[in-house]
Amino acid sequence: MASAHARTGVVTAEAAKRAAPDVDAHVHVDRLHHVFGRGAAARTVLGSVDFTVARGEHVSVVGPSGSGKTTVLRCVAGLLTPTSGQVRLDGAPVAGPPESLAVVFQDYSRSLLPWLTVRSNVALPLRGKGIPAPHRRERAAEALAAVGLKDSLHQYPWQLSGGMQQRVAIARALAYRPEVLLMDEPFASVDAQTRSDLEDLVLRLKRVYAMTVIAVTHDIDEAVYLSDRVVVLSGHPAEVVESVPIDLGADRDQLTTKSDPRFARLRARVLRAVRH
Amino acid sequence: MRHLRLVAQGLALPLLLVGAWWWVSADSTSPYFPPLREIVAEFADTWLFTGIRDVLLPTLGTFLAGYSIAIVAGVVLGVALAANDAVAGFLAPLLEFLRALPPIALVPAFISVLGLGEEMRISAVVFASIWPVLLNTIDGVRGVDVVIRDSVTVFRVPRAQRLLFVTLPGASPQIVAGVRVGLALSLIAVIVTEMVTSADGVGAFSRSAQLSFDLPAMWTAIILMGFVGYTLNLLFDRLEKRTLRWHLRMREPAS
Amino acid sequence: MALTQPHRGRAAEHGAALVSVAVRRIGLLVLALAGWELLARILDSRAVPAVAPAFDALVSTVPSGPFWAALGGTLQSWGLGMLLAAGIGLPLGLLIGSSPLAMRATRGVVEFLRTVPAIMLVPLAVLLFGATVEMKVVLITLSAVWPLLVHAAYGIGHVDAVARDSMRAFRLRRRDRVVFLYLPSALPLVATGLRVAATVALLISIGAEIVTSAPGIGYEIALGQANNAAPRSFVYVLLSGLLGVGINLGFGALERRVLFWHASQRARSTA
Repeated sequence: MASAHARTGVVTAEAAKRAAPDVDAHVHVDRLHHVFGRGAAARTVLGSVDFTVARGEHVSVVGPSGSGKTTVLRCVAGLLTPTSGQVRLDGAPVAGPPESLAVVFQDYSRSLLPWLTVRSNVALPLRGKGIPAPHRRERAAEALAAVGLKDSLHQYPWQLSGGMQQRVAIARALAYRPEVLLMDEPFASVDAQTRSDLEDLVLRLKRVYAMTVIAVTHDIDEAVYLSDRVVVLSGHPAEVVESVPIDLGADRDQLTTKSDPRFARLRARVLRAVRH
Repeated sequence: MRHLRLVAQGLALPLLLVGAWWWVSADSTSPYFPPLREIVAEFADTWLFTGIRDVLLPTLGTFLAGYSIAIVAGVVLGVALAANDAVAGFLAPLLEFLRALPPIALVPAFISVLGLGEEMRISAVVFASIWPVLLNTIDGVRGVDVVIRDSVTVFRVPRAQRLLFVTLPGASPQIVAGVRVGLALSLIAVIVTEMVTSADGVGAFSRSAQLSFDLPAMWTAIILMGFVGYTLNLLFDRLEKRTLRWHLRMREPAS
Repeated sequence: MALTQPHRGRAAEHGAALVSVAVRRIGLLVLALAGWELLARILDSRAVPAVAPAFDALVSTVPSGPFWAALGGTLQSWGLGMLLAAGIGLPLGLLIGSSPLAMRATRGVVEFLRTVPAIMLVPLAVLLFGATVEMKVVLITLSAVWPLLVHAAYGIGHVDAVARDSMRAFRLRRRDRVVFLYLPSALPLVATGLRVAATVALLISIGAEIVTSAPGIGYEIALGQANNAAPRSFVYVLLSGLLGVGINLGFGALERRVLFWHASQRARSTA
């Protein structure tokens, strides 16, 4: 009855979360509802999506493809205004991209600017923060070193491999020093080996930079491996079906964590919720 | 509603500009910019419909003859050259030179050799528009997906059918682009030859209006050629859409 | 040693390839001249000189003052016209292209005006300005402005949606977005517009010179034919062709420099 045992553990964790007052939430996704198109072509993508993320927590949002995961993320990033409902950041409603937030997009080849060098790409968002140029360059170099790219400052993104380009995108987000990091399918376009390298990079970076992370992914292994909690969305129109705390501790690595029986149970539970 | 609004947005500026021209020029005494009212009256007098028959049709006839010869010859020669990689590569610099040569530069020589007649004018139009068609055909045919070409070879499709149903449709987007460049060049060539030879056609009409200081007539000729150019381009767009749709349908089962 | 061996082999191969290209180019030149000679003999016309008299004319014309004056006359009006057309067409196109409403509103007018063959304006321009440089500059500007305007307008609309989102998410200021995102995104199409405009400008310049006797290469071409000096006329025809090739090569080189990051140029450099 191992699974029953696990389930009770989960329930208590959930209860604890619920008991915590809402004011503590860093990010509150509050009854998000969104309809694309109008009239006959109208398509309700988000039914009523509701969840909170505590400060410093890493939450992955998973769900069947086309379930509106990315739409939720775009609302959090302030890139999309939902039809109704809102996202609150430290209690303040999001209208337009918030200052304390950075995004890593799936398509690195399109989110990085090909006409700028790697370092200029990373330094570019800092212009808006009123940081003088030498400091911008310094901070960019620092962030690139943190992702293991200190030798590629003067190359162009298209001269790098896909995995390295995504590292540049992550460095760009880090240099911005965000309180909230959003990642939209960040590793979906790289090969398997690069993917697990990048996963470990994110784990390592989380320890150095204290950030709240919300990641959208369709990869359940990745979600369980990286997160403190996995939020499962149902499809058409999306609602939160389940919120699964991942109590695997802070020290994780590809071999021991992924072969841990608890990992397998959590993975199975998320998978069941997705298929639900 | 939405559709109506789009139409209104598209029509507003043209109407506004024509209205402004009408209003600003109404009391114009400048010989160069006669009142639009006068130009419109002159337009109706001159072009509707004897002018169109006697002046515009010869121009369009020369244009059509030269342009269609250039298209057919350009495509045929282009396909032949593309099939012969070595020859095409050898000739490439010469063909590039001929395309870069402003075709009007040879109009005086065409006149000296062929005289002032229709033959000369058609030749000048052909020379002006054949190069973009020819070079784009070579590029297009060579660019036809190698996989498609190989699979067709494997299935032993007869040569003629392969050309008609594989090579030409595959190359059509580029051929059409070349033919579009040729359209503008043909129009310029036909008007320049008419201006220089002063025989007949819109170019000659406009030139003789200049020599007799008949400015309203000149304006009507400009407006007329604006409509002609616009209409030809619209027709071309229609044709292009059709060709490319055919092309897309061809590709669907292949991919 | 083992390392230098294949290197030397490649260098030799490269050298051999260069020699073969040179041989083929010379062969083509000889063939083209032979074709020309044949054509001249078949036509047997005073209007088409054989190779030898054309070569004589080349040798006597090129060092002469009128040759350089004609080249200067055409280049001057071409350059001024291009500058004016770029100064008007690019900013206007970028402005129009950054608003879908402006795009819809101006489409009809732009489509109409750009299809008026600019050469139709020659008689009007001659009456207004005479057979002068100003006349040519006005005509060139009026014909070159449209490809620039249209390409700039479409270019600025070609901003990648993901790049735009990420710049928005990072709260880039408007000015920075224009400089670092919108303008570079428009550059590939602007470059195409420049090349098209440069070609049209040369064509209209020479056309106007032929029709109106304004000073320049076109005038010399027409004059040579009228004065039974066909060989001299052909020297100028050749010059106009070389100018056309020069414009193509020049703008091609510019594109490679400015668009080094663009997929088309990257593919070329690795091929």
